Amino acid sequence: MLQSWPSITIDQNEILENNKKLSKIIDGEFSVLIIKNFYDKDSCNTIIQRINSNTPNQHQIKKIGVSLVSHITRKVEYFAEADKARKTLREIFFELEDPRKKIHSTLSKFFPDKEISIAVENSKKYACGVIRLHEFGDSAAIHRDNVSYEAKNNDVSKFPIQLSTVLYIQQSENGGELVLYKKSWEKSDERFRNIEFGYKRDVVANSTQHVKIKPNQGDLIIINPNYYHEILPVKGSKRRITLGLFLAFSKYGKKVVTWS
Amino acid sequence: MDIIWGNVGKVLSDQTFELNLTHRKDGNKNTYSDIEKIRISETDFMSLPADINNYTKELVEENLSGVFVKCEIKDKDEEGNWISSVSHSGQGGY
Repeated sequence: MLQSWPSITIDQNEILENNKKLSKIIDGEFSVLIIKNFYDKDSCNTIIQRINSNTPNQHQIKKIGVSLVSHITRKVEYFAEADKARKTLREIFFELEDPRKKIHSTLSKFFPDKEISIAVENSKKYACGVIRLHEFGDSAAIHRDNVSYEAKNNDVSKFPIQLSTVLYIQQSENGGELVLYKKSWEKSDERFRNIEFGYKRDVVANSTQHVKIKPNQGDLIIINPNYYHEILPVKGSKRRITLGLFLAFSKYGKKVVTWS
Repeated sequence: MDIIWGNVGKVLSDQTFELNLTHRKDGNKNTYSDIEKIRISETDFMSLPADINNYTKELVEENLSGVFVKCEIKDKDEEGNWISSVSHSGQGGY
Protein backbone atom coordinates (compact mmCIF):
# COMPACT_ATOMS: atom_id res chain seq x y z
CA MET A 1 0.00 0.00 0.00
CA LEU A 2 1.36 3.43 -0.90
CA GLN A 3 2.20 5.64 2.05
CA SER A 4 2.36 9.38 1.92
CA TRP A 5 5.85 10.78 1.41
CA PRO A 6 6.08 13.70 3.82
CA SER A 7 6.71 17.23 2.59
CA ILE A 8 7.91 20.44 4.25
CA THR A 9 5.90 23.65 4.06
CA ILE A 10 7.28 27.00 5.19
CA ASP A 11 6.29 30.56 4.62
CA GLN A 12 8.32 33.02 2.59
CA ASN A 13 9.50 34.77 5.78
CA GLU A 14 10.66 31.51 7.41
CA ILE A 15 13.39 30.68 4.93
CA LEU A 16 16.39 31.74 7.02
CA GLU A 17 15.42 29.64 10.02
CA ASN A 18 14.78 26.64 7.74
CA ASN A 19 17.77 26.88 5.48
CA LYS A 20 19.09 23.45 6.47
CA LYS A 21 15.91 21.74 5.24
CA LEU A 22 17.14 21.44 1.66
CA SER A 23 19.42 18.56 2.62
CA LYS A 24 16.30 16.57 3.53
CA ILE A 25 14.96 17.12 0.02
CA ILE A 26 18.26 16.09 -1.55
CA ASP A 27 18.45 12.83 0.39
CA GLY A 28 14.78 12.01 -0.06
CA GLU A 29 13.71 12.17 3.58
CA PHE A 30 11.10 14.68 2.43
CA SER A 31 9.48 14.89 -0.98
CA VAL A 32 9.21 18.61 -1.55
CA LEU A 33 9.88 21.94 0.12
CA ILE A 34 6.94 24.28 -0.44
CA ILE A 35 7.54 27.98 0.18
CA LYS A 36 4.10 29.53 0.56
CA ASN A 37 3.43 33.08 -0.63
CA PHE A 38 6.83 33.28 -2.29
CA TYR A 39 5.73 35.66 -5.06
CA ASP A 40 2.84 38.10 -4.85
CA LYS A 41 -0.40 37.28 -6.57
CA ASP A 42 -0.81 40.66 -8.26
CA SER A 43 2.48 40.18 -10.07
CA CYS A 44 1.43 36.64 -10.99
CA ASN A 45 -1.78 38.03 -12.51
CA THR A 46 0.12 40.65 -14.49
CA ILE A 47 2.38 37.94 -15.85
CA ILE A 48 -0.66 35.86 -16.81
CA GLN A 49 -2.19 38.80 -18.71
CA ARG A 50 1.06 39.35 -20.59
CA ILE A 51 1.37 35.66 -21.42
CA ASN A 52 -2.24 35.50 -22.62
CA SER A 53 -1.77 38.46 -24.93
CA ASN A 54 1.51 37.02 -26.25
CA THR A 55 0.00 33.58 -26.87
CA PRO A 56 -3.34 34.17 -28.65
CA ASN A 57 -3.36 30.65 -30.12
CA GLN A 58 -3.25 29.29 -26.65
CA HIS A 59 -3.31 25.57 -27.32
CA GLN A 60 -0.30 25.70 -29.61
CA ILE A 61 2.18 27.28 -27.23
CA LYS A 62 3.34 24.92 -24.51
CA LYS A 63 6.36 26.80 -23.24
CA ILE A 64 8.00 30.20 -23.28
CA GLY A 65 11.75 29.90 -22.99
CA VAL A 66 14.24 27.13 -23.65
CA SER A 67 14.95 23.79 -22.05
CA LEU A 68 18.41 22.27 -22.33
CA VAL A 69 17.36 18.66 -22.68
CA SER A 70 15.25 19.53 -25.74
CA HIS A 71 18.48 20.63 -27.40
CA ILE A 72 21.03 18.05 -26.33
CA THR A 73 22.10 17.37 -29.89
CA ARG A 74 21.92 21.06 -30.88
CA LYS A 75 24.17 22.90 -28.47
CA VAL A 76 24.82 25.97 -30.63
CA GLU A 77 21.09 26.36 -31.23
CA TYR A 78 20.41 26.05 -27.48
CA PHE A 79 22.63 28.98 -26.57
CA ALA A 80 21.23 31.11 -29.42
CA GLU A 81 17.67 30.34 -28.29
CA ALA A 82 18.70 31.05 -24.69
CA ASP A 83 19.69 34.59 -25.66
CA LYS A 84 16.40 35.17 -27.51
CA ALA A 85 14.43 33.78 -24.57
CA ARG A 86 16.23 36.15 -22.20
CA LYS A 87 14.70 39.09 -24.05
CA THR A 88 11.21 37.52 -24.12
CA LEU A 89 11.21 36.73 -20.41
CA ARG A 90 12.49 40.21 -19.52
CA GLU A 91 9.50 41.66 -21.38
CA ILE A 92 7.12 39.40 -19.48
CA PHE A 93 8.64 40.43 -16.13
CA PHE A 94 9.08 44.11 -17.11
CA GLU A 95 8.70 46.46 -14.15
CA LEU A 96 7.82 43.54 -11.85
CA GLU A 97 10.10 41.88 -9.35
CA ASP A 98 11.85 39.35 -11.60
CA PRO A 99 10.91 35.98 -10.04
CA ARG A 100 14.15 34.43 -11.24
CA LYS A 101 16.16 37.02 -9.32
CA LYS A 102 13.96 36.34 -6.32
CA ILE A 103 14.70 32.63 -6.65
CA HIS A 104 18.42 33.40 -6.83
CA SER A 105 18.18 35.61 -3.77
CA THR A 106 16.33 32.85 -1.91
CA LEU A 107 18.94 30.31 -2.93
CA SER A 108 21.62 32.52 -1.41
CA LYS A 109 19.80 32.13 1.94
CA PHE A 110 19.91 28.36 1.56
CA PHE A 111 23.54 28.44 0.44
CA PRO A 112 25.14 31.36 2.31
CA ASP A 113 28.65 30.10 1.50
CA LYS A 114 28.11 29.73 -2.23
CA GLU A 115 27.81 32.15 -5.13
CA ILE A 116 24.52 31.85 -7.05
CA SER A 117 24.62 32.56 -10.79
CA ILE A 118 23.25 31.55 -14.16
CA ALA A 119 25.36 28.76 -15.62
CA VAL A 120 27.90 29.85 -18.22
CA GLU A 121 29.82 27.73 -20.70
CA ASN A 122 32.47 29.06 -23.07
CA SER A 123 31.33 32.60 -22.19
CA LYS A 124 27.76 31.78 -23.19
CA LYS A 125 24.96 32.03 -20.65
CA TYR A 126 22.52 29.19 -20.27
CA ALA A 127 18.80 29.93 -20.46
CA CYS A 128 17.37 31.19 -17.19
CA GLY A 129 13.85 29.93 -16.68
CA VAL A 130 11.19 28.27 -18.76
CA ILE A 131 7.48 29.03 -18.45
CA ARG A 132 5.37 25.94 -19.06
CA LEU A 133 1.76 26.20 -20.13
CA HIS A 134 -0.53 23.23 -19.52
CA GLU A 135 -4.10 23.59 -20.70
CA PHE A 136 -7.12 21.32 -20.55
CA GLY A 137 -6.07 17.70 -21.04
CA ASP A 138 -2.33 18.37 -20.84
CA SER A 139 -0.22 16.31 -18.49
CA ALA A 140 3.39 15.25 -18.10
CA ALA A 141 4.16 11.55 -18.04
CA ILE A 142 6.22 10.04 -15.25
CA HIS A 143 9.73 11.35 -15.69
CA ARG A 144 12.88 12.43 -13.92
CA ASP A 145 15.22 15.29 -14.66
CA ASN A 146 18.87 14.29 -14.60
CA VAL A 147 21.24 16.56 -16.44
CA SER A 148 24.26 14.45 -15.51
CA TYR A 149 22.88 11.62 -17.59
CA GLU A 150 20.98 13.48 -20.31
CA ALA A 151 23.43 16.25 -21.15
CA LYS A 152 26.91 14.76 -20.72
CA ASN A 153 28.26 17.19 -23.28
CA ASN A 154 27.28 20.20 -21.19
CA ASP A 155 29.25 21.63 -18.27
CA VAL A 156 26.20 21.66 -15.97
CA SER A 157 26.26 17.86 -16.09
CA LYS A 158 29.48 17.87 -14.04
CA PHE A 159 27.74 19.07 -10.83
CA PRO A 160 26.69 16.04 -8.77
CA ILE A 161 23.59 17.49 -7.09
CA GLN A 162 20.64 18.85 -9.04
CA LEU A 163 17.44 20.37 -7.69
CA SER A 164 14.44 21.86 -9.41
CA THR A 165 12.51 25.00 -8.45
CA VAL A 166 9.01 25.62 -9.77
CA LEU A 167 7.02 28.82 -9.22
CA TYR A 168 3.26 28.50 -9.63
CA ILE A 169 2.06 31.51 -11.59
CA GLN A 170 -1.44 30.18 -12.21
CA GLN A 171 -3.03 26.99 -10.97
CA SER A 172 -5.54 25.01 -12.98
CA GLU A 173 -9.14 24.91 -11.76
CA ASN A 174 -8.97 21.15 -11.37
CA GLY A 175 -6.37 18.50 -12.01
CA GLY A 176 -2.77 19.50 -12.74
CA GLU A 177 -1.47 18.08 -9.47
CA LEU A 178 2.19 17.20 -9.14
CA VAL A 179 2.77 13.63 -7.97
CA LEU A 180 6.20 12.63 -6.66
CA TYR A 181 7.32 9.05 -6.09
CA LYS A 182 9.99 8.01 -3.63
CA LYS A 183 11.90 6.18 -6.34
CA SER A 184 14.99 7.73 -7.86
CA TRP A 185 16.31 7.02 -11.31
CA GLU A 186 18.69 4.14 -11.96
CA LYS A 187 20.24 3.33 -15.31
CA SER A 188 18.43 0.02 -15.49
CA ASP A 189 15.18 2.06 -15.58
CA GLU A 190 15.95 3.00 -19.18
CA ARG A 191 14.18 -0.20 -20.26
CA PHE A 192 10.92 1.51 -19.25
CA ARG A 193 11.39 4.54 -21.49
CA ASN A 194 8.60 5.88 -23.67
CA ILE A 195 9.56 6.76 -27.22
CA GLU A 196 8.85 10.49 -26.94
CA PHE A 197 8.89 11.43 -23.26
CA GLY A 198 9.21 9.89 -19.84
CA TYR A 199 8.69 6.36 -18.59
CA LYS A 200 6.03 3.69 -18.40
CA ARG A 201 4.22 3.52 -15.06
CA ASP A 202 6.03 0.23 -14.35
CA VAL A 203 9.11 2.25 -13.39
CA VAL A 204 7.47 3.29 -10.10
CA ALA A 205 5.71 -0.04 -9.49
CA ASN A 206 7.94 -0.78 -6.47
CA SER A 207 7.70 2.69 -4.97
CA THR A 208 6.14 2.52 -1.49
CA GLN A 209 5.69 6.23 -0.91
CA HIS A 210 4.35 9.10 -2.95
CA VAL A 211 2.79 12.49 -2.49
CA LYS A 212 0.29 14.50 -4.53
CA ILE A 213 0.44 18.28 -4.18
CA LYS A 214 -1.32 21.26 -5.67
CA PRO A 215 0.50 24.42 -4.60
CA ASN A 216 -1.24 27.75 -4.75
CA GLN A 217 -0.57 30.67 -7.02
CA GLY A 218 2.61 32.38 -5.85
CA ASP A 219 4.05 29.31 -4.10
CA LEU A 220 7.54 28.08 -4.94
CA ILE A 221 8.47 24.42 -4.63
CA ILE A 222 11.88 22.79 -4.56
CA ILE A 223 12.27 19.10 -5.38
CA ASN A 224 15.03 16.63 -6.11
CA PRO A 225 14.02 15.90 -9.71
CA ASN A 226 15.97 12.65 -9.82
CA TYR A 227 12.93 11.19 -8.04
CA TYR A 228 10.22 10.30 -10.50
CA HIS A 229 7.34 12.71 -10.81
CA GLU A 230 4.40 13.45 -13.08
CA ILE A 231 1.76 16.10 -13.69
CA LEU A 232 -1.81 14.86 -13.74
CA PRO A 233 -4.14 16.00 -16.55
CA VAL A 234 -5.37 19.57 -16.30
CA LYS A 235 -9.11 20.03 -16.15
CA GLY A 236 -11.15 23.21 -16.53
CA SER A 237 -10.54 26.26 -18.64
CA LYS A 238 -7.66 27.84 -16.71
CA ARG A 239 -4.14 27.00 -17.86
CA ARG A 240 -1.62 25.71 -15.35
CA ILE A 241 1.30 28.11 -15.71
CA THR A 242 4.63 27.57 -14.00
CA LEU A 243 8.16 28.95 -14.15
CA GLY A 244 10.85 26.30 -13.85
CA LEU A 245 14.52 26.74 -13.04
CA PHE A 246 17.08 24.03 -12.29
CA LEU A 247 20.02 24.44 -10.00
CA ALA A 248 23.12 22.32 -9.51
CA PHE A 249 26.07 22.36 -7.16
CA SER A 250 28.58 20.18 -5.40
CA LYS A 251 28.57 19.80 -1.63
CA TYR A 252 31.92 21.49 -1.01
CA GLY A 253 32.02 23.69 -4.11
CA LYS A 254 31.72 27.45 -4.07
CA LYS A 255 29.01 27.83 -6.70
CA VAL A 256 25.38 27.12 -7.34
CA VAL A 257 24.50 27.42 -11.03
CA THR A 258 21.02 27.75 -12.45
CA TRP A 259 19.66 27.02 -15.91
CA SER A 260 16.66 25.79 -17.83
CA MET B 1 12.18 3.09 -43.42
CA ASP B 2 11.89 0.61 -40.57
CA ILE B 3 12.40 1.97 -37.08
CA ILE B 4 13.05 0.10 -33.86
CA TRP B 5 13.77 1.38 -30.38
CA GLY B 6 15.40 -0.15 -27.36
CA ASN B 7 18.30 -0.16 -24.95
CA VAL B 8 21.89 -0.73 -26.06
CA GLY B 9 23.00 -4.06 -24.63
CA LYS B 10 26.26 -5.88 -25.24
CA VAL B 11 28.73 -3.85 -27.31
CA LEU B 12 30.24 -6.22 -29.86
CA SER B 13 32.82 -4.03 -31.60
CA ASP B 14 33.69 -0.39 -32.28
CA GLN B 15 30.58 -0.04 -34.47
CA THR B 16 28.22 -2.84 -33.52
CA PHE B 17 26.08 -3.62 -30.51
CA GLU B 18 23.10 -5.67 -29.48
CA LEU B 19 19.84 -3.78 -29.11
CA ASN B 20 17.29 -5.00 -26.56
CA LEU B 21 14.10 -3.97 -28.34
CA THR B 22 11.25 -2.23 -26.52
CA HIS B 23 9.31 -0.66 -29.40
CA ARG B 24 8.79 -1.32 -33.10
CA LYS B 25 7.24 1.10 -35.58
CA ASP B 26 3.84 0.06 -36.89
CA GLY B 27 4.21 -1.00 -40.48
CA ASN B 28 7.85 -2.06 -40.37
CA LYS B 29 8.65 -4.23 -43.43
CA ASN B 30 10.89 -6.60 -41.48
CA THR B 31 10.18 -8.61 -38.37
CA TYR B 32 12.54 -7.96 -35.47
CA SER B 33 13.37 -10.20 -32.53
CA ASP B 34 13.72 -8.95 -28.98
CA ILE B 35 17.49 -8.73 -29.46
CA GLU B 36 18.98 -7.54 -32.73
CA LYS B 37 22.53 -6.73 -33.79
CA ILE B 38 23.03 -3.16 -34.97
CA ARG B 39 25.87 -1.65 -37.02
CA ILE B 40 26.11 2.11 -36.52
CA SER B 41 26.12 4.09 -39.76
CA GLU B 42 25.81 7.46 -38.00
CA THR B 43 24.75 8.83 -34.62
CA ASP B 44 23.72 12.13 -33.06
CA PHE B 45 25.60 11.45 -29.83
CA MET B 46 27.87 14.45 -29.47
CA SER B 47 30.01 12.66 -26.92
CA LEU B 48 31.17 10.23 -29.65
CA PRO B 49 33.75 11.30 -32.29
CA ALA B 50 32.36 12.99 -35.38
CA ASP B 51 34.13 10.44 -37.61
CA ILE B 52 32.76 6.94 -37.06
CA ASN B 53 36.15 5.49 -38.00
CA ASN B 54 37.49 6.93 -34.76
CA TYR B 55 35.06 4.95 -32.61
CA THR B 56 36.49 2.38 -30.24
CA LYS B 57 34.63 -0.38 -28.44
CA GLU B 58 35.40 1.33 -25.14
CA LEU B 59 33.97 4.67 -26.29
CA VAL B 60 30.80 3.03 -27.55
CA GLU B 61 30.42 1.14 -24.25
CA GLU B 62 31.01 4.27 -22.21
CA ASN B 63 28.53 6.40 -24.16
CA LEU B 64 25.85 4.00 -25.28
CA SER B 65 25.61 1.07 -22.87
CA GLY B 66 22.08 0.91 -21.47
CA VAL B 67 20.99 4.02 -23.33
CA PHE B 68 17.53 4.14 -24.91
CA VAL B 69 18.03 4.76 -28.63
CA LYS B 70 16.15 4.94 -31.89
CA CYS B 71 17.50 2.88 -34.79
CA GLU B 72 16.44 3.79 -38.32
CA ILE B 73 17.23 0.75 -40.39
CA LYS B 74 18.97 1.37 -43.69
CA ASP B 75 20.21 -2.07 -44.75
CA LYS B 76 21.58 -5.38 -43.54
CA ASP B 77 25.24 -6.35 -43.82
CA GLU B 78 26.71 -9.72 -44.69
CA GLU B 79 27.10 -10.61 -41.03
CA GLY B 80 23.41 -10.05 -40.35
CA ASN B 81 23.79 -6.71 -38.55
CA TRP B 82 21.16 -4.09 -39.24
CA ILE B 83 22.96 -1.02 -40.58
CA SER B 84 21.27 1.84 -38.77
CA SER B 85 21.29 5.49 -37.96
CA VAL B 86 21.34 5.49 -34.15
CA SER B 87 19.94 8.48 -32.32
CA HIS B 88 18.52 9.77 -29.05
CA SER B 89 14.88 9.02 -28.69
CA GLY B 90 12.73 11.56 -26.95
CA GLN B 91 13.52 12.70 -23.44
CA GLY B 92 13.49 10.99 -20.09
CA GLY B 93 12.65 14.32 -18.52
CA TYR B 94 13.07 18.05 -18.91
